[in-house]
Amino acid sequence: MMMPYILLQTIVVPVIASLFILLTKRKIGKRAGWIPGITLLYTTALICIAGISVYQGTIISEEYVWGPYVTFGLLADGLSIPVALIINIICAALAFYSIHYVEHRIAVIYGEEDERTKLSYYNTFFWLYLLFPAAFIGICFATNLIVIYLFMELMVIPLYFIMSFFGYVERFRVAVMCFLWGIVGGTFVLFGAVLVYSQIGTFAISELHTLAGNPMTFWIALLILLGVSTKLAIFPLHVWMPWVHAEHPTCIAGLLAVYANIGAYVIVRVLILPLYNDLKVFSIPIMIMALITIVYGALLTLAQTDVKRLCACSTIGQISYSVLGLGALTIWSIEGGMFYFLSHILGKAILFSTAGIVVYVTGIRDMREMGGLIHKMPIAATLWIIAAIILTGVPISSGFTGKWILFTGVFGAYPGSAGLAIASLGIFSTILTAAYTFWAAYRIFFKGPLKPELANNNKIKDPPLTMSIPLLILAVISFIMAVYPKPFMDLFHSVIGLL
Amino acid sequence: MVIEWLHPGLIFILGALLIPVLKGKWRQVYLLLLPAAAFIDLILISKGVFGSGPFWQLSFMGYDLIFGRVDRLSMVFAYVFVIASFCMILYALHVKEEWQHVAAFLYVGSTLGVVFAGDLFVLFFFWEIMAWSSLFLIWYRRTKAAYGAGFRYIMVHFFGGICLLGGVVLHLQNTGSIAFESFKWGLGSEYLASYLIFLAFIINAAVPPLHAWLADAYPEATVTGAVFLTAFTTKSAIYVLIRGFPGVEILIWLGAIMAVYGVIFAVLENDIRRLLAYHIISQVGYMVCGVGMGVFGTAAGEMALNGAAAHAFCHILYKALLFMGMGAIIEVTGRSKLTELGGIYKYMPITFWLYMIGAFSISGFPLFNGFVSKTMVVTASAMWHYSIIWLMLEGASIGTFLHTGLKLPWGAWFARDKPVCEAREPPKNMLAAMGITAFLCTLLGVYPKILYNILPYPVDYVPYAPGHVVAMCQLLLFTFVAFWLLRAMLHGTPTITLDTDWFYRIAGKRVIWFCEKPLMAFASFIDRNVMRMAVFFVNPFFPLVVKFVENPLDKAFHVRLPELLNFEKIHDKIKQIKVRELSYNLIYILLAMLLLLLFILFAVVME
Repeated sequence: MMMPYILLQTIVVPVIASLFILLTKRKIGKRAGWIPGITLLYTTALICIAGISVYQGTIISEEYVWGPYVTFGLLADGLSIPVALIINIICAALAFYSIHYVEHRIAVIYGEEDERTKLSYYNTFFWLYLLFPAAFIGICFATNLIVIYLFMELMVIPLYFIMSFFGYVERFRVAVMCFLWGIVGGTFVLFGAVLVYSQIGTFAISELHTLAGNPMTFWIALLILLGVSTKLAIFPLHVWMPWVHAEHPTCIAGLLAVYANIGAYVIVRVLILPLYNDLKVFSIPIMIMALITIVYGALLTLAQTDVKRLCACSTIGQISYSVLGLGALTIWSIEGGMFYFLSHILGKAILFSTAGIVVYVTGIRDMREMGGLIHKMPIAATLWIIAAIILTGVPISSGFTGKWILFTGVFGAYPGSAGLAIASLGIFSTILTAAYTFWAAYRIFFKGPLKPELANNNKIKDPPLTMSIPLLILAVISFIMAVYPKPFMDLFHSVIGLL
Repeated sequence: MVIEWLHPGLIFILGALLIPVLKGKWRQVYLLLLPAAAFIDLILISKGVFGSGPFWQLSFMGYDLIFGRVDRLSMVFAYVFVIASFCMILYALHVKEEWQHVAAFLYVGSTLGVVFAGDLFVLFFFWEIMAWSSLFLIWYRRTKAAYGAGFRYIMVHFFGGICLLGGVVLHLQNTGSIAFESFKWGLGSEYLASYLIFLAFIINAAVPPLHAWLADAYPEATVTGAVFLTAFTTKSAIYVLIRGFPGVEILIWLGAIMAVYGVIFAVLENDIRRLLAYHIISQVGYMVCGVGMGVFGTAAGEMALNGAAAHAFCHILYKALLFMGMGAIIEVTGRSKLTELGGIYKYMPITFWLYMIGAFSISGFPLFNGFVSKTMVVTASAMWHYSIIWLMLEGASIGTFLHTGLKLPWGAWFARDKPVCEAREPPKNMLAAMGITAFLCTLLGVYPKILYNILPYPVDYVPYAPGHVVAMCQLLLFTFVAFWLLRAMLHGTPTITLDTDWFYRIAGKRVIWFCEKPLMAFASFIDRNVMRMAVFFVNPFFPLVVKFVENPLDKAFHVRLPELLNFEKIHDKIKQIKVRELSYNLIYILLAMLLLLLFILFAVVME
């Protein structure tokens, strides 16, 4: 039972739903909040169906001709399906999480406005929200460099608007900062794409392998890597991330983690798979920059007192684990890097969303003023500890399986002492992740008795079910990925194993 | 239908999941049934009911995992873990909080998983679960000191886990096999994998200088949790050392130094359980020394490995008993320092005498189990002609008896004319657990054949040869005389000892200081300068441009368009915040990029 246009639906249906919310804003009222969630559940089901068919061996490929030079193609193979699936599940979970969160945010920012305006903002959020999954899935399934560029820039637009309407401190300035950094990153990718066209006359990714051995390939790869590094927040280009990630409304925090980390997928699809041999010259520099970012990001996180900034700086370090794996350029390390990417976005979505719950309920962002919250919010504490377990890589979480595969590949890449040193430093930095996540858990939930202002505030209680159940489902998915990685690894291997 | 095999650890791990469901007396019965079931399972395994070869082999991600490697060595450790866990669970039966029991059961189950692991992946998996489940036994005490000590504990163990992961992955690269057999040892960088795995094992075995976590964390654990902690982490480390590094010579020296180190630091201790924790280090030193001497194929080597395994067996039993006794004092009086205890013998005589059985065992009195096992290791060192090692091991016995057998019970139960506080005997289940453990200690001492029959290698050692008995009695008698004469000077002093954890505690503080001051200054510096770059985009011809270009654009962009999309309110706010300057320049930047793009496209098309 194969649905027609299955891949196109996964991109177009959210856009149609978004238009629907935009056009029927006044009529639907508060129920608009459920539309993204239900739409995304539907597209998740579609991706699962497509995934089963890919797992059984048939790659799904769709082509839509737009004009004499432009063909919009969508390809679902072993690499794109797992990534698209996990991203879509996270978007669906966060759509349900946002239902309550956006109300609170509007009450805080636009509290003095009248009901119609507040309703208008509420629906604005949801039609902007649906553009995210469309863009992410578009990047995953695209077969054309220009289409990837298009969707990468498309991701930035709803981000700008959501940040400027619903963000926290200084949201307009931070929104503009985010927009600029995103656009500049995308433009470098565009330059690389145009150079590709100048060499082989086509933008199709399937033709990129003909560039192998071409002297321009070095510059193409460099431009695309620079562009994607801006998104991935590699060391010198990481400056935007603590700002943007901390001041955005937490309901899209998990999406921002995907927004940043999807650069890893782009690198694999566009650079590593077609141009493997030409990329070897970049291997050690990428690994060293990734290592610096891991350590710098982790140390920066240790210094944070604001709970949202802590999660934000933590993202910097965690993304670079995937980059470390990609830089090592062995089959295991690339597959491990992609697996760790999926595990990271799951864990980070849970961690950040739990931080959002704590900030939402207590109104405090500074961890030094929190403490002992476990007495009132046991479910939130459990979710934080589950996320800490996933990010640290304790066994029975997908982080452990991901790290195992990743480091098996990284250790095997360069048998000499320099390679060993890089790999060992990478593995020892995981202790910093354990340190900051569990120390933060201690400061927020376990330290001492509740402060008097918190103890008397009887609005502090566990979050409503629409906020905690999606996160629990994400945790269960991480657990399933940990004990049963075979489908994911088989799917990745069918594409990456051909190297 | 004969099932293929049942992993004893699985009984504990799956059983742990049901604990929160049961309540009251049913839960207590269930808690005791699980180790009994595991014990029966072990007996069936050793009788060969399930066959012999490796069980539960699984292919996972291209590796061959073996969950059930059964041989004499793993069986002897499995036996003692299960037997001891029964006594410890009985001791903890009165605890109402079910998650403490869940943590303890996961801890025991994962240790059994380590013991039966046939390959390195399974070993690493259960190794990590051991560390994390035992962490909660410390944290459940819920004091500030316990939170801190637990955090340091898990940091050290996580570091050990990372070393193990790195070593295993490197080993996999070097040899291509994930089977858990003895590792190649030598000097040189190609043995890095072995060094890393060795480091991880000796962290868990609490070898100095990496031992500080033990003395830091065990006294801060819950009364019942500490009893569990004494047995499993360190002894499973001995098991994996016997498997992976038998006969590695550096272990002999490390073990002897450990034995003496633990005793010396115990002299300085005031906290009753910390003193016993240092004695754990000392006794594990005997075992490590035995592993180091365990060269395969030689009589002395087999004696040494037998001694290490036997000493592990006996140590678990008597150390559990000692911690149970001291735990009973803490439970009943609430005090844990020698300077605050004394004179309570008349309230708790039974506890005292049961404790003394454990003290006699650890000191190696004939008729108790320490005598039959510790002397094996010492004899092996004599057979290898390591005279200095022999002297250090014998000397450590003196210190052990002095502190555990004399100073500690004297200071806790006697030493004052009037009792320092009210006390009573501990709850019946604690006494029963202590009684059973004491009985086992005595049984093995009087009838060592039971133990010798399950040791990995055939034993031709006669513990009750007159020479051994006389030597031991001589040692102990003169120790007692020395104690009696010097007892006034051997009381507890209210001091804190600095141990090697000082290094990483201070280093940890320095790291946090570094992150909060210099690193944040650097990060803010980058931030400020990047923001300052935005000044570059401010337009010098602003007034003219405003009049001719920007006002019309402004009207179109900010008035007509928002009217269409209903954004008047936001438009006002944006005007207030003067983002305008920057946002117009944005248009210029985009225009410039578009022009550049067109230029490139033009060039390409003309190509």
